[in-house]
Amino acid sequence: MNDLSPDRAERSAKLKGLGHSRKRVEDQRFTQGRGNYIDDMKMPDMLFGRWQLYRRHENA
Amino acid sequence: MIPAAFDYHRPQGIEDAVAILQAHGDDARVIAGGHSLIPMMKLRMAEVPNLVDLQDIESLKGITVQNGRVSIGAMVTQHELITDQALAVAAPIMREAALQIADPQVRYMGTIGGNVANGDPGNDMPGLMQCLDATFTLFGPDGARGVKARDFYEGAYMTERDDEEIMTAIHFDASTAGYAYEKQKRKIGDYATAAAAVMLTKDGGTCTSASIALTNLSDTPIWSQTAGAALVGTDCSPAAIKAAVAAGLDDIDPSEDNRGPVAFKYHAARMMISRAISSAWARA
Amino acid sequence: MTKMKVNLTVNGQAHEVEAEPRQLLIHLLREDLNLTGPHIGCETSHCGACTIEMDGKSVKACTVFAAQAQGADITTIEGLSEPGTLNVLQESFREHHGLQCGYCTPGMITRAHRLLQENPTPTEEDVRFGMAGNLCRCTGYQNIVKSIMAAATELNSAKEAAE
Repeated sequence: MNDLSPDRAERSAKLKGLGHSRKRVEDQRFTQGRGNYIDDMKMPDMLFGRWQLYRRHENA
Repeated sequence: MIPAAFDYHRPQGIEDAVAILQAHGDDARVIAGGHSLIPMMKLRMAEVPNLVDLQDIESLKGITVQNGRVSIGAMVTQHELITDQALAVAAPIMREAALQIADPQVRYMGTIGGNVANGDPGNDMPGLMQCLDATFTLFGPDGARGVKARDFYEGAYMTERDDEEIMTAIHFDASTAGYAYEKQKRKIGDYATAAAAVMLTKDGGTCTSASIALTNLSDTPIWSQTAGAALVGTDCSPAAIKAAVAAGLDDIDPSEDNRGPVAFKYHAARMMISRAISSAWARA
Repeated sequence: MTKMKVNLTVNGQAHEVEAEPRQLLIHLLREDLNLTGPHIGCETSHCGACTIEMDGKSVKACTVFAAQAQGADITTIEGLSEPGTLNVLQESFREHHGLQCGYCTPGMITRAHRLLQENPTPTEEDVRFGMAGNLCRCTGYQNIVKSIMAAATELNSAKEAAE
C-alpha cells in the first residue's frame, strides 16, 4: 500500500459495516442445545413416524 | 432404529449371570459395553430376548500386574487400558492398539472382553492377544477354564466359548520386547483394512524371538508362526522382513469388501507387517 | 413389553422414568425428559451428535439402553452452563464461528468439555484426535478446533489468575 491509500481503520469506518464479519444471533441458542430443530418440536396430538426408504442405486 | 423388545437382567455376581444364561439357553446373551451388540440389535441383526448386563459384576473389573503376569478383567474398558500406568509399562502395545480402536466415546464404553469374545474378525484385540500368547478365562456352569487366544477363534463370530460361558479375564506375560501395532484404515475410527501386531526380542543385533499376528485379513485373527520364525536369528534386514512378510501373506485369506479388493488387502497387509516389524525392531 | 423403573440423575436432578428396557437413552432424554439438546444424527453410532456425559465419561446416548443407565449421573448440553448464560466453550464456539447449522454442536461441546478435563493443554493434534467421535457436515472442522483451543487457553489463564 502507498501513502495515498486509507488505512484499515479508515476503510472500516467508511464502509459502515458492509463486508464485515458479524457475530451470528442464533449461536447463543445453538450452543446451549436450544436449537429447536424440527425433531425437537413437541406439539399436542403429534404423531411420530419413521420411514425406511431403500434405493436400489445411490445417486449423488 | 429400535431394537426388538427384551427382558433385562443385571446380576450382581458371575454365578448369577451364568445361571441366567443356563435358564434361557440360546435366548440369552451378555452385554458388556454394548458398542458392538447394540448397533447390531438396532439393525435387528441380533435378537436377544434376554439381555444380561455385566456392569455390576465387580470381579470382572481391574487390571493387575504381578510377578511379570498381566491380568485384565473382561469388563475393563479401552479407556482404562489406555490410562493404566502399570499396563503402559508392562505391555505398551496394549495402549498403542487401544488408541487405534474406534473413537473416544466408544473407547469409554467398549470393553476388552467384548472386543475379544465376540469373534468379529474386524476387532483389533483378538490378533493382539494371539501375538501376546494370551490365555482367556471362561467361566460356566462347570466352573472356570483357560483357553489360549491362539486356540480360541474358529470362524467369523464362532469361538471356543460355549453359550453358557462368560469370558471373565485375559492373562498374558508382561514384556520388555520391541512392540508395534500398525493398522491401515480408511479413516480414523474405522475397522482395519489390514493390521499387524508384532512383538520381538533382540540380543546384540540378532532377533531372538518374534510373534506376528494379523487382523481382518481372514475370518479369524491369524497368528503366523512362520512369519515370526522367519525373523528369528536374523538382524531384521530388508531381506528378513521380506521373508517374514511373504510367510505372513501365505497365512491370510482376505475377502473383497468396502475396504478394497483382495489385491489391495494383500498390499495393505504387506505394508502393515513391514512397518510393524521395523517399528518393533527399533524399539527392541 | 413390560416397562421398568429407571432412576437416574440428569443435570443435577433426580428422575424416575418408566421405560421399556430396549428404549435408547437418547430417546429417554429427548422424549421423556424433554432435553432436546443432544441430537440424533446417524443411527449407526458414528456421528456423535447424541454425545452426553455419563458418570464422567463421554458417551453416545444412542448406543446405551435406558436400562443400562439405571443409577447413572448424566449431564447433557443443557447442564453445561447456567440457564441463560454461555460457558467458556460455548462463548468460544460463538466467537470463532465453530458452528453453522448447529446440529452437531451440542455433541461437540459436550465432548470438548470432557476432552479438556482429560487434557487441559491439548495440542491441535490432540484436539483433532480427541474429537474424532464427532462428525460435522458444515464447518470442515477448522473453526471447531480453533474454538476448542481458544477455550482451553481461556480456561487455563483463568485458572492461573485464580491461583
